[in-house]
Amino acid sequence: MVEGTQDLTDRTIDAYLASDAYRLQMRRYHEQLLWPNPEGATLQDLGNLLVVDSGSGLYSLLDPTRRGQYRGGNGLHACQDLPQQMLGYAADGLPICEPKGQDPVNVGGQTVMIDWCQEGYVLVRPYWDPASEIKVCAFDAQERETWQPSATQTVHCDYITVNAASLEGCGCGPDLAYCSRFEEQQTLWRDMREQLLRLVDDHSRGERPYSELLTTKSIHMNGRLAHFKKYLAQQASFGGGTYNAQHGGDALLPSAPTWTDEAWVKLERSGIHSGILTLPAYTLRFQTNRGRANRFRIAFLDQYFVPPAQYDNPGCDPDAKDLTRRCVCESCHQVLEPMAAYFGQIAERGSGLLSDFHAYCPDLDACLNQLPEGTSTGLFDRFYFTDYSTLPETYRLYALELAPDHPEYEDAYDQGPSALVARALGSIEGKSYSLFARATVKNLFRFLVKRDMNLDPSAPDHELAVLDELATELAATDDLTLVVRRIVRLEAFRRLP
Amino acid sequence: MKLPARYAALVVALAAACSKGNEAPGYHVEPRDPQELTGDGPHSHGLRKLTVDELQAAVSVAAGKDALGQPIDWRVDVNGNGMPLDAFSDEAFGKILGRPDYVAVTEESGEPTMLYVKLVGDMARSVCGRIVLSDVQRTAGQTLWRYAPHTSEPTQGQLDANLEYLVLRFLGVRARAGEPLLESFRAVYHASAAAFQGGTSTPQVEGWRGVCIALFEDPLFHIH
Repeated sequence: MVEGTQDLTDRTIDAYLASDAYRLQMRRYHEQLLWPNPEGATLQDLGNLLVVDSGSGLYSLLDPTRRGQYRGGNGLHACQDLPQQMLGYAADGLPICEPKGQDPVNVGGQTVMIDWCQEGYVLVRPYWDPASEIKVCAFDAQERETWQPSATQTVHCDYITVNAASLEGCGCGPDLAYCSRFEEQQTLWRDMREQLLRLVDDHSRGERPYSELLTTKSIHMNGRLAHFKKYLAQQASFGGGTYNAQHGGDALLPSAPTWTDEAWVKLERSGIHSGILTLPAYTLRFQTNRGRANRFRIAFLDQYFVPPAQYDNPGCDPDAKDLTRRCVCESCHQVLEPMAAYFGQIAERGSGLLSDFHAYCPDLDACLNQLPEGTSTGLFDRFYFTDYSTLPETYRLYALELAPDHPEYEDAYDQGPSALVARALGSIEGKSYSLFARATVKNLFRFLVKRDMNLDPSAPDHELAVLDELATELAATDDLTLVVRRIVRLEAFRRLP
Repeated sequence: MKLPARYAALVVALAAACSKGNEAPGYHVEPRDPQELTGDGPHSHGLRKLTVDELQAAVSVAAGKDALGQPIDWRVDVNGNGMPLDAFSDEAFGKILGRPDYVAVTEESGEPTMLYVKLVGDMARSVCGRIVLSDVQRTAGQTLWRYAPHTSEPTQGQLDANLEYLVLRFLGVRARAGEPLLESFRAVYHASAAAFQGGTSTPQVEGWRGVCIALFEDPLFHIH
């Protein structure tokens, strides 16, 4: 189409920019920048992991703690391949469990014999495939949302962090909504990646300002992600997996999300949410605040940390807990730590917001009272730093651990990632464009021309003027397609090796 | 069966492009002489193979559409469930071919590997088979024998015209009869036709199938 021509026509470029091929290329470009693949992030807890016996086709929870609570013995038994109707239910609604024998169990160094039993199965249409019925162990298939093990205690079965795993009256909920198989996790990883790329679609085709990719409150959700957020994310314990629970500021979810609903809808978030930077594909790919800040710095400021020229600065402390003051570490962390603080309200090793939690707790009860009755103390291990220098000890979120010595961390924590973006969008001194615009032009040039811009001022064919011109244009228009349009017209773009 | 020299050249040339950047002996792959350079020369990217995305797109463009108007792509039944997948997808060979997953691999290498060459061979045989199946159902506008008959011996002119068309279609190069590039594919055509063992096909169909495979395996198809 363009063979033998000296220039690309507007019509050719317009057709390309409107094509699906361009949309896909922009996805690839942003994937190269952001690596938005959360694969490997544990989204499900052992406590709600369903497995199937290949011989009998029976589904049951794998967790030995729950199995032990349901059936006793050594915690390895699932149910028997028998309809539960044949065994019936007790007055309290629990499935009747048929005694089967005793298991030797080591308790405190002593071998003791513990009774075990097996209930039957019930037929369930699982949320992941409502068209088919599967056999699920009756304990595991219990649907109740709350369970009262005693007259004075009520637990929420849809919130495993309140120790529901150890209570026999809690199962997987209606249609097994609270539980999942390994397959669901793999599907969710793909959906999270797609969720981020849909925002890329929105902001890379000239329809919306490009920089708002980093600040928009919009979010794309499908039925699976809504189901995950509403049910499965609440099941993760504070210990092992990632923390993705729904909190204030997250998009409001449908009252009854449908896993099989493939349609993507656009919802609005609020609070500290900030474009792709608070999407799970980003926060689960970069699970620490330092990692999130560093990737932002590379992708949108085009700045990289390099080893210091001089390792031991006078006055540094080789053992300082504060990395901005520790020898060697300080050269990078003096820059990185303040940037990381902007991500402080997002759970590390997770995507859940911490904005509902007290930033500071004067005592243990003040922290515990934030969650439903029975919350395990795992909450503190996970999110709170205990300050023993105060009497009595006080607690604050880990992001604020060093805030007494660095008040700027607290400001950054309060403002969230959008304030970091605002800094990146400020004009460089003496220039009419920002670091963000400069980095974007350099990255896009590298992606399209397949080499770095030549920014060596001593080279006769340097491209500093091109960088200035394109970055100025991007800063003025905030339209990525204009930069693409300019780059593909450069002679350098069309030059063969 | 002795492999035509150009088949063997694929492995040699791709591997050489990976390690030394030179060409197979006696095999001129450049469509035109490169410009004489002085000093560092103009800034440009070096030779690299297609990315998996580019290969995926290029195969469909070269292969055209089937008799029903659907794009011909490379499909494999990796799960053995009778539901073939797009072979370039990550669920099939996409990651093996080098597409980054952004977890363990964050950058796609521009250098071909032996595994890449092996899978390209598989791709070429599969896709060319699908093109042949579609072409034999067409009475006009065939992809592989647009300017030559497939049930009788083509004339020299028909053979030249169809080879020129295929080299342009697959490699984007205007090669003429007598030029080494086109002549190498003529040799492939004759060798493949001569290897015809009988059956429902014809020597000509097998000749064009061989040319198709050779074009897909040609370094010019993969390196830019």
